[in-house]
Amino acid sequence: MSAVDDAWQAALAAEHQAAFGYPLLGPQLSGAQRDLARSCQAAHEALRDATEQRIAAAGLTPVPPKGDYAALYPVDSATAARALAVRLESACAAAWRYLYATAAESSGNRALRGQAQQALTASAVRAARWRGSSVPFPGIS
Amino acid sequence: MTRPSRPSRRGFLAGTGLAVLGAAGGVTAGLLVDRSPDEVQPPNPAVLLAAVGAERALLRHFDTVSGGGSLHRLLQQIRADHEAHLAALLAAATLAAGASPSAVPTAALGPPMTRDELRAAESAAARAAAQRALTLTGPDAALLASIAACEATHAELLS
Repeated sequence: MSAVDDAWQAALAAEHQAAFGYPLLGPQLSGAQRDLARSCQAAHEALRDATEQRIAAAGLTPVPPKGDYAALYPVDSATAARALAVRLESACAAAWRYLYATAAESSGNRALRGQAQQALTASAVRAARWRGSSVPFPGIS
Repeated sequence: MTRPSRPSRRGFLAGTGLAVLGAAGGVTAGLLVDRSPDEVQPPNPAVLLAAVGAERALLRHFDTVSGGGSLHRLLQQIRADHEAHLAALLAAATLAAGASPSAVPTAALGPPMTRDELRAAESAAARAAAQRALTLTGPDAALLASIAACEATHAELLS
């Protein structure tokens, strides 16, 4: 696999983790934050599915999800839940930014870069909603 | 689930010369994504200097706004992000061709902006940064992609 393929699979792996992690944190929240968790979960599941399809269409075998993600536990409070949400989004932002950077090593890959930009931006925005603040360089901070 | 077998991607592209391009907004490019490497472009100081100008303009916007309490803290934080962007872009522009950042004109201070106007300015800046990123290669492209994402978060926080 090329470096771009590796980075693409790593982005999918991050989406698998997010899709797994959100159902862990949602039950610790209530009201608007629980609704936010549900919408974030749905967004990650949709992006995971779309990314799997695109990777498969490119002739690659999409990386599967892990059976468990032990590092995400425990989620035993609303504070822990919000912190986990930020971690999940930051991990996705980092993976999509890495894909963007790898794909940008040449002047091609415009479509893939567009997809990576959209995913990086979406995760950065969600992280900001959970954190209540921004970071200057999403994906690397 | 068993996926249907498909012809190899490289064989298909070699046979048809097909290249799929997408827009900066991330419009899906169908099932085939061109991942083939093309030439590495040299750094583009003009694009970086334009990005420097854009960050300076955003900073000028924030100079016009006053407010207290939580809005003030938010504006200070957003301003700090833009200062970090400006520093990184100045360094990149200097590296690209020894281009002098002082060559970028600074916009005049305009009337105070409302919160909604700032939000719109951040959204527009995010789109512009993403477009600029697509015209670049290498670390400069990734830098602008991150800046674009950050400015989108500003719009979100200002909404």
